[in-house]
Amino acid sequence: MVISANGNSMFQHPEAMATYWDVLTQDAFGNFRQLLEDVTLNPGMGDYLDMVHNDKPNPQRNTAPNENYAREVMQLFTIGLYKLNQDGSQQLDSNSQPIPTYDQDVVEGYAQVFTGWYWYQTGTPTWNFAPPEYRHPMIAFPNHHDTGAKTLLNGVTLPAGQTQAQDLQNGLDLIFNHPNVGPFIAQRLIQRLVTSNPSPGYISRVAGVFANNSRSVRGDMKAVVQAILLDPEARTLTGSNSYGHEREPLIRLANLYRAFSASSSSGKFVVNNSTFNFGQAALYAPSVFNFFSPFYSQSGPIQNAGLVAPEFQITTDTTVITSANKMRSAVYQQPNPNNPDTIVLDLSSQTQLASNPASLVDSLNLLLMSGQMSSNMRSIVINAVTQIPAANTLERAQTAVHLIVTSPEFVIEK
Amino acid sequence: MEISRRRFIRQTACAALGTSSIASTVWNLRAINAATAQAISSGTSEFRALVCLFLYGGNDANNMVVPTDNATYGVYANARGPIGLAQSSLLPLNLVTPDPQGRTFGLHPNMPELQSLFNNDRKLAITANVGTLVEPTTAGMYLNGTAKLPPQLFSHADQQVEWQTGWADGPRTSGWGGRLADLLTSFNNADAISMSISLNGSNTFQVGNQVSEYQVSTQGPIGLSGFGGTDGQIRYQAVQDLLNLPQQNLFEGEFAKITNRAITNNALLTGALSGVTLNTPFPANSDLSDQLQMIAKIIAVRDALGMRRQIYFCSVTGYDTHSNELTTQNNLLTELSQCMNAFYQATKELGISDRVTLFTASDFSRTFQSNGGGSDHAWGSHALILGDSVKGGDIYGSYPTIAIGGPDDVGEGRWVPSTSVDEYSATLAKWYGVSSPTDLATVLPNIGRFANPDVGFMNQLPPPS
Repeated sequence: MVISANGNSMFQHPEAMATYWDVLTQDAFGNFRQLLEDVTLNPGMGDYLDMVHNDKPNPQRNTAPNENYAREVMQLFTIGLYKLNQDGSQQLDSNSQPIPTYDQDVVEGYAQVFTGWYWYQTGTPTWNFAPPEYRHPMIAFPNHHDTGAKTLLNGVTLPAGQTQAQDLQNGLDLIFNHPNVGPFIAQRLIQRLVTSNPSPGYISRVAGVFANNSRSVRGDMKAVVQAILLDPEARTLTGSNSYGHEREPLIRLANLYRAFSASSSSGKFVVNNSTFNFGQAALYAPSVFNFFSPFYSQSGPIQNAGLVAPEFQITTDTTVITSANKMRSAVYQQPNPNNPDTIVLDLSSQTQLASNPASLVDSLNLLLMSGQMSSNMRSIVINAVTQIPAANTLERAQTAVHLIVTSPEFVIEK
Repeated sequence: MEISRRRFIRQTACAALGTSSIASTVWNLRAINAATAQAISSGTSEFRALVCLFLYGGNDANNMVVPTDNATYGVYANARGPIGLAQSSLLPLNLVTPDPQGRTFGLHPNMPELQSLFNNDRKLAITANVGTLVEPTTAGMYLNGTAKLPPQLFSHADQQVEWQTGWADGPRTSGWGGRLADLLTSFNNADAISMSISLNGSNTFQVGNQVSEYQVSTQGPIGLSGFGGTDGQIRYQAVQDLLNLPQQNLFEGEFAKITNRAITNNALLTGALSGVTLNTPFPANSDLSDQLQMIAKIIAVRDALGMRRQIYFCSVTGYDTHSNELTTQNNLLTELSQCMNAFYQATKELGISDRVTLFTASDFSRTFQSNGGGSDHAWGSHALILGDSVKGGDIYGSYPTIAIGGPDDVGEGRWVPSTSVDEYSATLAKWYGVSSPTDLATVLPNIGRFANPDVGFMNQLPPPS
């Protein structure tokens, strides 16, 4: 569920992005149905995918409702293009072709459902020329809602003459209860949290929890995340050469900052030139498709093995270098009295271990790599640290951290 | 024992003090290889470059090439309503070959540079109503359900990929630019950088079965930095050793491979670009401008790189004008016109303008009917082709009948394409040097299903000697 200030006037409205972020953090471990509704009525999303001020058809101006949110909420946020089995595989028709989940008529039907919403206003609300208001959910304008019958998912048609609230309720319920949502969400969350290519069984187990958290509740996201992280496939070292996923470049920086209690004297975490350095910036994706596709494969051995590697879509000849350079500078960053936003790591624990390079590297292996460092890599890092003069304890610690966080074994989380 | 190239780089790197000296060392290495390799022609007659400029989001081509005769403009104004452009603002196009239906056309008012390239230089052509198709298709076939259709029409990601694969119903594992590169990469020095160069990251267009794309930033290649001093050398050695460890895990191996490739290519390209001069002014404050300028610079050093064939990918986002369309497109098409012109003038400066062809592509066009402030996802679109090999000053293909519910409409003013992406791309591939039908079918496997493997907008170059 993506909004972005990239190429959008919300660039000048940080409160829009902050309010949207609040929705995500507030609902992340709540129920998916609530998340879906809160995102739908969020004014930042309304701005980004044009649900705000989406008007009923106007014969004089020859206009039809805006289809942007209608299409993307289904394709990208909830059910996807093709009917899925619970294990994430596509259902096939008698000609072995995938079966679309919806057609253009359904997109137009949902475009009609999502008519009649506009900026929150105090006083007497007006449909035109209200200033953007990003802190409160959009409000309903029944006179601008399309009250005709609407063709929606699964062959359901909403009757004409329903209220705006009823249409929204029914429309979102239909999406939420579509059997695709469980496997769709399960696959994407597993990819982000654990591994790029989960087994069908893994997806199926998580999708099952989405359908029913064992207390007959559908869409319990806390239970879903728990199921992902505690699944045997997440907890067992398989030794498979295709297990794991690349840590997103910006997540690598977050991992570094969190591991070493990074801080700035101003209390701000300003990451400049993030798009250039990492190929991504928070709430600044190039489009609603976000930074990379869950289906992206990397040509060569990964594609030949039939695997996807989503994060590799932004792993370019440029970003592998710029991100390594930025990670390096983050490790060695010293406090700067002239810039209170300077972010500095706390390496005091590591400095105390610097006289014993092996102990230093082993502690970092546990902290940063869950103890999965290969013996070859361990030797290389210890050898380099040992060559740094023993008196330079901070530099020894920095050298070890730097080499680890730019290494392939760290970048690929397993 | 012969020293391997990578090991040579590593050893010289750790003897050096910083990345600039690493770059120059590797540059010298490549120069040695080039000297001992069979000499390739440095004459411009041997060079060809294709530049794909992708307009992400779905350019509303209905407002880029607009009918200007009173009758057709009247239909346009009525249908487009709030997103229609004023008739008097359109920039007239003087067609070499008049429209068979007697219609006249104009460009969007913010594209005077391209108007001049079309009318005066005759180096810009338009292909009308081109889009993804699986087979020749009519609106009637679409509406009665008998047409075989490209998967997921009107979906951004799918249509972007289908434009870039040039194979709407094929596997999505390679692009037509990549397959073209596979065929022709032997024109380049084997030790050169990849002939597929992207200025905007990963894309499907350039994915080949053998050739993979090399991504360059708008500031050129970028090297690892911060390894000065004795301790820096220690760390650089360790970084190299970590990258060269044999990796069991496929993802670790790939990450190391990309990083090693980036280090090597940075050295090669940095060395080559160090002597480049390019005086043509490019628009400021435009990422697209920066991309095209860097492309021109890399073209300028083609001989130093040992390259006779290059395929570029650049792109610009923001064309998904569901709302606020008039303002957004004003800005985007201004940028497009100025940047394409600057790039063309740069190729003139380099004396290579008949050897470089730029073409546009986009997800799809947009509904002719408005949604109030913008328009929604549609299908067939108009594309631009620019260069001295282009038979400019004409609209190729067939401009649609712009009637809602008319013979070309499949709903809300979504035009069924009259020219397929396959035909459009094949025309470019033939100019680029694909001559045999077998090779053309390798690049564009469905081309045999369509009537025009050559839409006609390119003059053919003499075959390479």
